[in-house]
Amino acid sequence: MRLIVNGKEICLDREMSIVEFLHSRGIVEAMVAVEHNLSWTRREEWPNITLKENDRVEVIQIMAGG
Amino acid sequence: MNDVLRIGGRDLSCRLFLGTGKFTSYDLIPEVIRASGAQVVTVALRRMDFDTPQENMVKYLPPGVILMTNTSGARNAEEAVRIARLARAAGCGDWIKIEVVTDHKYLLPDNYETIKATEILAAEEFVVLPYMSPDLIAAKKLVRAGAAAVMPLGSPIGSNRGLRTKELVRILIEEIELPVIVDAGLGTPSEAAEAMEMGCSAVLVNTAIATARDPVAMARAFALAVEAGRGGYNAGLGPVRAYALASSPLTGFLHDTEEDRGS
Amino acid sequence: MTFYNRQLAFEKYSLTQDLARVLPEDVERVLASSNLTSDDFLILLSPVAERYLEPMAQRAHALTVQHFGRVILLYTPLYLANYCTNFCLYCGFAAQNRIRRDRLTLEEVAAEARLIRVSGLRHILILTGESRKMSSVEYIRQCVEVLRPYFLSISAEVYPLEIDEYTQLVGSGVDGLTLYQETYDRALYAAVHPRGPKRDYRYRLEAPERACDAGIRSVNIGALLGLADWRLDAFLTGLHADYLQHLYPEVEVSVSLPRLRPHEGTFQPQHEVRNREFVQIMLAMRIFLPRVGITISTRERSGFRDHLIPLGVTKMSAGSCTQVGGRSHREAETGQFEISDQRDVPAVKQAIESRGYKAIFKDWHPIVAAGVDMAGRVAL
Repeated sequence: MRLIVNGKEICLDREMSIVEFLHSRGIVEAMVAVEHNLSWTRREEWPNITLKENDRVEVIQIMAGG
Repeated sequence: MNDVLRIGGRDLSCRLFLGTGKFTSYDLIPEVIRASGAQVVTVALRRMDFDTPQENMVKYLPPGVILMTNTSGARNAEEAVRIARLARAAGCGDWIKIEVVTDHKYLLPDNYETIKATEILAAEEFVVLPYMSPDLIAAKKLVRAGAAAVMPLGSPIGSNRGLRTKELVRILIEEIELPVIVDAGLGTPSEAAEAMEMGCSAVLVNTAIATARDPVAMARAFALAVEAGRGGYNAGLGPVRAYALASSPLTGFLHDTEEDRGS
Repeated sequence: MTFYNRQLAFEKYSLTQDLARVLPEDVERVLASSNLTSDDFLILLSPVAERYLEPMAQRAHALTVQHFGRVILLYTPLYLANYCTNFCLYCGFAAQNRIRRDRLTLEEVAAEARLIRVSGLRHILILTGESRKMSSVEYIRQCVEVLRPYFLSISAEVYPLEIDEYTQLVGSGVDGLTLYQETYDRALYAAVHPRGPKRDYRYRLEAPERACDAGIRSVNIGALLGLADWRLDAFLTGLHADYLQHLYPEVEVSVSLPRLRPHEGTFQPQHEVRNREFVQIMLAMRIFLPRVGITISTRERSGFRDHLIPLGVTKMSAGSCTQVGGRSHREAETGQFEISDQRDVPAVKQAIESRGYKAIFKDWHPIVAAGVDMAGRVAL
């Protein structure tokens, strides 16, 4: 299943929730924010949002900056 | 003396805001914050790099400090708004520094897009501090759009050229009823003091501290300068004669023996 | 929220007490600062500040030259009609005064315009008394249409209007509004306006804001000095001008300082303003509001007016006549007030130039004039 994550096309072998996706990449929920198809999402909802074919996902991290 | 800066419902005693970009290591950040006494600290949002994951920066920030998320990377109002909403969802709080830059040579902000973003975000109850080019008309529009303060640049980001926009910033201080916070370009503690003496409510400093040989010492120096400048302003700076008493008397005619009642 | 709310907020303070507390050091501090607060303005209006007229004059002169140059714009009033439904105690046109009432026909308006135009004046101020019946908005508008080909700028000093009425006048070619609150002392205001629509203090006070909302380019306000305590009226005039300038940065704001003159009627001023005090008001106004224009009319004597030229004046009237149709009719008639400076335009121009200033007749050239094409302009 193809989707775009952080501007790059990736392949997942099946649909999965946001939480599952993050864990599969070794990302701890507390550190990031997720934008799903141009909408911001609540952390509590991540187990319930399923990533589908052609979805656009942005995984955003808080970093140093001016 | 109660000289508190009130923004977004918070009372701040420190008028030095700190930018966290460009530090050689995250380790320095907590020490710099401590040395500066800063209560407001900027952060940015970036796409996570899955290949080379970055450390979580938030753990380097002392509890109680106010995070102000910078929308840097946004090229227009829509992107700035997206970043702000993500920041809130990420737990960064409601303070947003709107930075919309499309000019990559000087990094000058786009006042027009900034005004648009301010209007949208203020309506969503963000505490909006727009970074702007010091233009009085744009500043008035930012006030109407619901900004919590205005942040005019002193000189282009990272240039360390100081308070080049002094006269325009002075006009903002005179005419805008919101706090005026000079952000960008302050290169030395004396420049921060200069901004504060003029009547700025606070200053935001990043590059000058982050790229100093000893960032912690520089942070302390800036903090002292901000306090000194503010102290001078509050104490009432001595009068500066803007004109010379050179020309011939203008009111001599009032001593003539004429009917004094204008008839 | 309008200036009315701002004025009410100030009424909490005792001006007399604040004025009595002013020290010489306060005046000196204010004279050395830039960007005065309203407190600083009050200090300059205090009795103590009267000792500092010369330094105030130097400062006012420098500020005026810096912001306006050595330039005085000349204009003249044209009274269209003197019918009036108000009973103001201090005015020659008040309803209770038995004077000849007149209203110019459109032909007479054109005749007056031609006479004025010959003198070189291109900026004109039209006036009427307050009578919606005899000098309706439609009548005023028609007069403006007649006048527009002759003049580059038409200001109107008429009774307070609704915003859509101002919009109509602006559309016809009126670019300025002159409206004096007469006095900002609300109790005295009620006393000197016993009858008539002018009794509505707030409606009049808020009229300049309506005109600005309707797109007027310039606004001229003022109080009739001598009606009430002049320090209060000068102070509130300054605050009002500051308020308008702040709220409408695109509008050119100016103040007038009309001093009560002998007139038809029995009202005697309680607080006559001495020359020194008049000058103090003008200087304080200039220092508080460096970019606001100051207009001095022919209520003031010629010699005195000329001395004011370097002190902050930006606009003066010349060749004035306060009678309806007084330039073309030769009969003696009652004017609104007695004119003290009777000089014609060349004499006033000469007086200005002898002081190293330039008298100008044209401030701008309107290129966007509703419904008028350039061929409609009268060639002389």
